[in-house]
Amino acid sequence: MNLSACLLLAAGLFAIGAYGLLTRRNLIAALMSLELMVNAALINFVAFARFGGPAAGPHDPEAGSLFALFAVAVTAAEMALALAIVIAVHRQRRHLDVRELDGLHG
Amino acid sequence: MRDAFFYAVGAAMLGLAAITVLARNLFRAALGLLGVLLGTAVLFLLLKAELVALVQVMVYIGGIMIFVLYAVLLTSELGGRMARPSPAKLALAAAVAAISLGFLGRLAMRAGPGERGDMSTAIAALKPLGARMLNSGPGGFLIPFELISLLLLAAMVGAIAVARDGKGGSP
Repeated sequence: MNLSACLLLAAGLFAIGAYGLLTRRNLIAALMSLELMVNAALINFVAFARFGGPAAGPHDPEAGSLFALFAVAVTAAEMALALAIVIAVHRQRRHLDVRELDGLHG
Repeated sequence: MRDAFFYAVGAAMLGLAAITVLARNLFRAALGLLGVLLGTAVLFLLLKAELVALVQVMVYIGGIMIFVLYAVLLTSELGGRMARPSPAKLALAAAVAAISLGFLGRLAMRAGPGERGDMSTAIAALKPLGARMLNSGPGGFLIPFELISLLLLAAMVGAIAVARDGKGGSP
């Protein structure tokens, strides 16, 4: 277990999430793929807080943990809004296909 | 021992992530995501970031996943299978995923092992962490802390306003 291994795991999760985000047609499934990518970023924060970055500079593990905590809070706000939009869209249209949701497409 | 556990958790997380993006049943995908989030919490415990692991379990698994499962249950028939995307789109998505994996993987390899330090102590003790969060001086996190509370309030009000039906009835 070292910095490279943690970053590689995060990179794998990010790539899988990106694949899902591009292939999923259901809005909720796309959001879940997005969660995977955010999770990969969180793993990076904590890994750098644990092992320190490659760049020279003071190692500040507290700041790394706090960044991860703030990122979690922002994600919670984002998901609350996104799922409210999902519910509203489903109520209006009775489906959640991202290809059909082109109301803002000019 | 710790290393073997780390690799086992990592492999399980990658497998569950694959289930999340590949499962044709939405409920199964949500359970896969739940597993990934739980694995991440275990990973944070292995890295001795107890507070982050705790917040991960409380906010992600206790909050966001419940949201997601409710949304799945409210909006889809459980036995339903999602449509399969076209092969061209699958190829494009696989290419994007492979490129990002290659790029990030190369950066990850270049990062090196890092300084291992003392793996038996926590990254940051709870007390200095809390003092740091409420410190307004240099290196303090007071302003983001206050902004986050504002953001959460705005998101909550916005979510209620968006999700209620506009017939003027009580929500």
